[in-house]
Amino acid sequence: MLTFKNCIMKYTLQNKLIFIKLKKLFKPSLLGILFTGMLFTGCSEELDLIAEDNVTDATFWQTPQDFKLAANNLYNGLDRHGFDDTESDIAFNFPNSVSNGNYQLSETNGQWNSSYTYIRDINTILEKSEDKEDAEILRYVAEARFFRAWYYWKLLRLFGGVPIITQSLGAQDPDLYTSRSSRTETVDFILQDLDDAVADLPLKSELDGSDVGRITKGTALSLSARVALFEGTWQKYRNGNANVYLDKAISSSNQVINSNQYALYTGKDEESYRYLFLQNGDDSQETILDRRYERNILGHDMPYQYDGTGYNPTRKLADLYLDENGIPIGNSQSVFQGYDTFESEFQKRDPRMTMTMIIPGQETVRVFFPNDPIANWPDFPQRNANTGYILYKYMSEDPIANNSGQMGDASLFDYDRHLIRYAEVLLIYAEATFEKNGAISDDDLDRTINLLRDRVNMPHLTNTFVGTYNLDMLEEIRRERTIELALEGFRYDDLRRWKIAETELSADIKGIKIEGTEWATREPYSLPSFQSRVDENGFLIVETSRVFDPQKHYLQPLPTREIALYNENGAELTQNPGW
Amino acid sequence: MKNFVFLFISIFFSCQIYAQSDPVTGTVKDINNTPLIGVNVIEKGTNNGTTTDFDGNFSISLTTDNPILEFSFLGFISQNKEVNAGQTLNIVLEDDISKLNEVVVVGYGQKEKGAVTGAISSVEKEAFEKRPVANTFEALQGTLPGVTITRASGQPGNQGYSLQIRGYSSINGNAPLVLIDGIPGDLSILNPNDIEKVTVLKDAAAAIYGARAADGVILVTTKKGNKGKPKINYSANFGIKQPAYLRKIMDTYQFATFLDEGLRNVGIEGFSDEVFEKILQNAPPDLDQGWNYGVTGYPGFYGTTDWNDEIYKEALQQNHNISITGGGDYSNYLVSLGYTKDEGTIRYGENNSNRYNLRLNYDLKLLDNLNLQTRTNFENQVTITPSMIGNALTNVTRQFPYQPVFNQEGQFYGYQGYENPAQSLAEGGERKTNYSRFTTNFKLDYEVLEGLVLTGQAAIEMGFYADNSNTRTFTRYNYTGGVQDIRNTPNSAYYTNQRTLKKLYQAYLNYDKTLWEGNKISVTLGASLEQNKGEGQTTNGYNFLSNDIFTLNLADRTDAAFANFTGYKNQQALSSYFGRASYSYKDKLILDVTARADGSSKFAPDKRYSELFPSVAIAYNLHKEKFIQDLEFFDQLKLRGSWGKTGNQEIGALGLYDYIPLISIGGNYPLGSPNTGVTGARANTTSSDRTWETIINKNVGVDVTMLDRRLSFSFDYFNKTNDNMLVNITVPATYGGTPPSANLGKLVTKGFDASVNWSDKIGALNYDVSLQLSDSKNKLVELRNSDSYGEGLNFVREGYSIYSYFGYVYEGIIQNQEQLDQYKQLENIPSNIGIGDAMYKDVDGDGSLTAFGDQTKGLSGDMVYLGNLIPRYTFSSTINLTYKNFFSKVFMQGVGKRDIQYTGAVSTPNTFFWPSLEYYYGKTWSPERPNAEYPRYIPGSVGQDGLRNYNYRTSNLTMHNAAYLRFKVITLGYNLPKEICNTLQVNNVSIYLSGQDLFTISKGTLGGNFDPEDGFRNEGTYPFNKIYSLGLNVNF
Repeated sequence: MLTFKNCIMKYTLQNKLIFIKLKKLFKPSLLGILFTGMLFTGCSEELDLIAEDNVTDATFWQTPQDFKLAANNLYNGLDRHGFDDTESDIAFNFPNSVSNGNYQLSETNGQWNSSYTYIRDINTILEKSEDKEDAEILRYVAEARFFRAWYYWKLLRLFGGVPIITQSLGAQDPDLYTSRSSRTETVDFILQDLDDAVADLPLKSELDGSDVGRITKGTALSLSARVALFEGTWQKYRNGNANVYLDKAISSSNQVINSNQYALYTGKDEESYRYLFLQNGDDSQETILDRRYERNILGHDMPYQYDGTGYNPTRKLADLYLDENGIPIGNSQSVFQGYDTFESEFQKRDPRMTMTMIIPGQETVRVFFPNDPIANWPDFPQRNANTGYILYKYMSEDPIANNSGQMGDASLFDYDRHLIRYAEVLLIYAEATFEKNGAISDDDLDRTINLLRDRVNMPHLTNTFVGTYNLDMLEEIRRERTIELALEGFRYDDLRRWKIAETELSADIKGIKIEGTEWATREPYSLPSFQSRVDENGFLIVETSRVFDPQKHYLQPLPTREIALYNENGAELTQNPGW
Repeated sequence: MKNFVFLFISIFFSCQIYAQSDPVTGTVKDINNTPLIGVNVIEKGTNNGTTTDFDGNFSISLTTDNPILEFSFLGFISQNKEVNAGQTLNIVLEDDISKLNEVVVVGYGQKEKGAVTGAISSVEKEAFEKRPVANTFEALQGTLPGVTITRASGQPGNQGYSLQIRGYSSINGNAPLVLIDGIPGDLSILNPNDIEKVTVLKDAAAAIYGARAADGVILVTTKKGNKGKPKINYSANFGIKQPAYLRKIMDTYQFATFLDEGLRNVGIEGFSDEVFEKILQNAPPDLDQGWNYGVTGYPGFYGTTDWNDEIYKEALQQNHNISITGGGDYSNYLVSLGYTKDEGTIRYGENNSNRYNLRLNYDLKLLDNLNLQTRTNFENQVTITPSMIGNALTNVTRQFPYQPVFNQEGQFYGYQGYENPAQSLAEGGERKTNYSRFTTNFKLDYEVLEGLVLTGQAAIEMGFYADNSNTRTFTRYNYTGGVQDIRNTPNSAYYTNQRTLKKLYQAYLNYDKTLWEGNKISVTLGASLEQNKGEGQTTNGYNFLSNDIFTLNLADRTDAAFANFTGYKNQQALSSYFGRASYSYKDKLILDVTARADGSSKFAPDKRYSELFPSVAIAYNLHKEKFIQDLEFFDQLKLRGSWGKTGNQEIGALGLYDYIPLISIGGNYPLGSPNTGVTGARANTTSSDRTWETIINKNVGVDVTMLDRRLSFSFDYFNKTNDNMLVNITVPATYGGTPPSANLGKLVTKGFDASVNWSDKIGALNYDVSLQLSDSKNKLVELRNSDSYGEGLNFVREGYSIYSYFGYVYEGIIQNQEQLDQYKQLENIPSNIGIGDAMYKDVDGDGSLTAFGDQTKGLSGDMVYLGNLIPRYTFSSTINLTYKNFFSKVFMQGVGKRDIQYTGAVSTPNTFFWPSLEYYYGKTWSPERPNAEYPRYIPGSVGQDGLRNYNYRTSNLTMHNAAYLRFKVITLGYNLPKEICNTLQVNNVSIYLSGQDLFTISKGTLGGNFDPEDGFRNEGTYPFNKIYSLGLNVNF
């Protein structure tokens, strides 16, 4: 059949011939017939076009490579560097509504939306793999299961039990209005996905070079340990069924430890702790799951943001650090040097303190000062002086990146964010063991917390030491966790699962001591605007009138638009208590 | 420039002179004894012809025996006269009443204006001649009632024009269909000098273009040759552009005073008296110690730099056009060459746009009843811009006024890491875009028998777009000359190449017949097929060996991270059948019925063909009725009404194959050791039952001409209803994404277009005044969304117009403790609020200032509708005056109402590290200024941002009415007297001075800091210009 285009070309040609040579012989009426015929010659095949730069669903989902591509997409949702701990009491930049209890109901919630978006993608992968048996395909399916657990975990920690969606649903599907599962059902669902995933995932040592950074058995087990500890302690302090989860936390973390796949990063000797969070720590033996960056592929500009907006440690964090002998600074036998000078409180402390914070006056390279070290003060080069402490963790020493300017993803900083690292697994094992048994052996301390102490040359934590200085073992385990993982986004969850948020988060946020110390002579703290804001001991009060309502604030409110949508369709999405 | 002079001179002297004897001379006048200018005088059967001059005089030498002269002029009945050599004639031409106006281009054909039934406006070439126009959008702005043209920038080659007819018809894209000589095209790089006429189909008259006609149709007709000896026209225009509406920033003293007060407002010590003294004395810099808050570690400066002067400058633009026209009995031609150079107004870096246009319009009469029309043109636009221009222009307003441009070594100085816009422009690299388009279009008309014409048309358009940009590494220095840092490491470049190929084939038949006396019918039937293809690639290179040469062979290929390229390929097709039947009863009643069916490759096979797009239009020429004629009052009185359905398939959200489940591949997550960016795959959501949006278009209109045709008036009222607009349906987040949109929305747009024209003369002064006024307003009747909106500008909210603002009701400034205590009863206001801060109304009375109410408790929240960004009551006026050899034109244009909230950091009193607009100086509240317009100054980033943002929430305080009246064009010109032309051996010469955008009257510009025409409304906009120009027009 002639296409329309050809019709016209042929017609046009004929036109000339006909009119020029055969004009008189040809009858106009005949032409009319020809023309009309041409008009109604079908052109519909000209509209049957196919996508030339896109794969269709019908041809995709065949090979392991297809499933790998689909799994790759899930990594994009991993948390980037941020200001997570400003939601707690150990970091501050500006009054934070989560931290100070001013959090309001909102129509939508970014975490809610993005979790379910990835969950849809994951459910698609699981559906498309139903008849697949290829081991390589099953590996990527297991990655998808890990991510389903991950994204449900992101919901669980904020909201408790949530609607569990296990299929990619159509826009009219009544299952879109699935009601919330209970908290326990949600946790069990997460742990089940992780158990299922472990079987088909490789060990970290089995990863090809090009697969470094992908999900492994250890990643799934570590998340299982984290979720189980979270739920185990949550239940324990609310008279729930804790032991099954604490046992799970112990067994999962123990499997990670016994797998011999991981070790603490010690590549920079006594400064290893600080360098772990810079390029040196990328792909180290300590990393279990990283949000990855690479210059010219996807960079970040966090040092600019930390300098500009601030991610300042608080008095709470500063006082948590032990002295160099492992004794809390409030203890009468402590060698703590007091607050009198700019530097004194940083002296003779756990070395992690001065690898997390910069001692005032200390010279370091910074953004804008990439080559020649510059003296650091709370107001310069960082700009936010409101606690008086200066962030050191994450402060890159890379001169090229420090030179490059703030350009979002195009920036040149590329150190990864550690989302799960081996240190956390060790801490989970120690804490879960103690919470389950009410005791922990020195052997177990040696294979967990004391490894962390060794890295920074701190004395070991032992049952004897605790006895000698009249310490509380649980408090010391929690302290170790808080300072080791400081500014990594764990504190808000920890305060809530330990059920101490109503006392800790409602307390004032404080900063350096500016009355009766060297700080009283230095601007801006010498100014009335600061001098008028001190507590009875002369510490700067950074934020006061904070609230935490235990009936309400342990869980965040569900987005109200979702609740309204359920209502409009005759379903119910229960709001959290107090909201 | 040199080339141009050469060209000019060579054309000037190659002009031939025909010297002959015994010419026939005479004068041509109308019945009122007014000389007619430009009447064609042709010796029948020859190429010999001339036109009348400004006094209606002509002179023609005869070339044949028994000569007959034909006098013809648009709107008048032609006359033939047998003449003898040496004779003197006085010719009086009579008005052609039946051809009251010219013929009007309609879809697939043309009609006499009296027979037009739809809302059609047109503008002739005179509207944009003799003024400095750099492109077609600029030329058309304000000339057509109901057509809104806005621009977003003054950047050469990148002004961001947008075109809309009668407001919005959808939330999914509102692009009118543009046809250039019958072929879909776009106006961006078309040479305005090649345009003969532009016609706009605004109502159901557009329905014959079916699925793409929802937003109206613009028909551009290019110039063509006329019978006669070759005529050469050269026109040139040189303009000086002066950047206008620059953001005026406080000087150093004002900055220090203002910030000092702000810091004290938040309990921070201000600046010492010494600082102010040093500023007043313009003291030399303190290199080891700065005075400004937060940057005391940086050097302190005390002078003032006017960064606008440092970054912006005056620049030139120039246009040159040469056209040659002519023809004989069997062919006529137009050859046209155009060149436009538009230089940017930035002082550093290269910034300009060059456009080259070439056109050949050649018409052939193959047989008495067979005509071939060809339209071929090549267009090319090359634009060069500093690649960091966006960054640089945004940073102009962010420079401290005390900060010098250069350090003491004469190097660019970035104030220890601040971005110096001069350096970014000069050293940051360069972007070059090159767009070429070749279009050719053949049309064959065959008159099969009397009244029956068959037309076949084929066209091809090839487009090539190249976008090459590099980002260079450069060093920033501190004040003493040491290296501060290195920017843009590694250096990089990208190369984008795109190709498009568009093909169109169409054929249609027109049949006109008078059935019996006074009863005429006309039928059009046709079909068309359009096929578009596009493909393109982008390659990125990094770490080039040299910082000067950026060809890809010098890029670093050693790093996997440096492998970065993308590509695309697409195609689409549209197949259509259309028809029109018209019936005319004694030229009094005219009825048009059209129908069109379109098939689009974008939809699922069973949704592919639209239902028929029908339209009905009727016109009633009342002035042809005896009872009106007896009044002897109206020259024309015509009523029109139309109804039609048009479609919209040009929807941004709609992919080319959305009915097939596709896998989209994208993203770039680093995995592996070494890292490689890996892409990921997602399954798209699909819908097989989406189809066109259908707009029902209703229009009633009236055309009146009276007082001996000196006064004409036209008015149209319209209503457009989009009944199946594609909208996102709302599902719970558990769906996991955005579900496919569905044809479930409804948008109603109503409005009017009106125009009045008065032309007359007083003695030797001829004048012509026209006024146009249009308006449209829309309402989103159905959006299928729950009530979702935010503070500030909202694109859509059900029940409101597109682009509505929502915010708080401003209730003034807290003046004293009593007011403060009372206001503090309200919950959810900043705890640190104080005297001098803003108060807002608790609209829903729940005792708390909340954006959104809890609807379950019947609370509406405290945000209210504050206005709308869409320009309303757009108007324009043209005044033409001619007096003897002088002519003058004033063209004004404006908007009657437009609500705007300016955005960007300078729109409110700024942070401590960026200076504020001088506009705010002395306008913020303090105990000494209790009647100030704005709340007390709380500097940003000193820990009180919550309060600062609170004071400048979207409210009545931050909304402005950007209504304006702008003198777009003021031209004063002079036609050289005939004697001088004769001496110069040319037909006529005119020279003129013309100014563009010289004066603007507007209040809502934040003290002259924002151009009311600016579509971006923030501080990074490339400035618009005032243009002073000198022009020349020569006919040989």
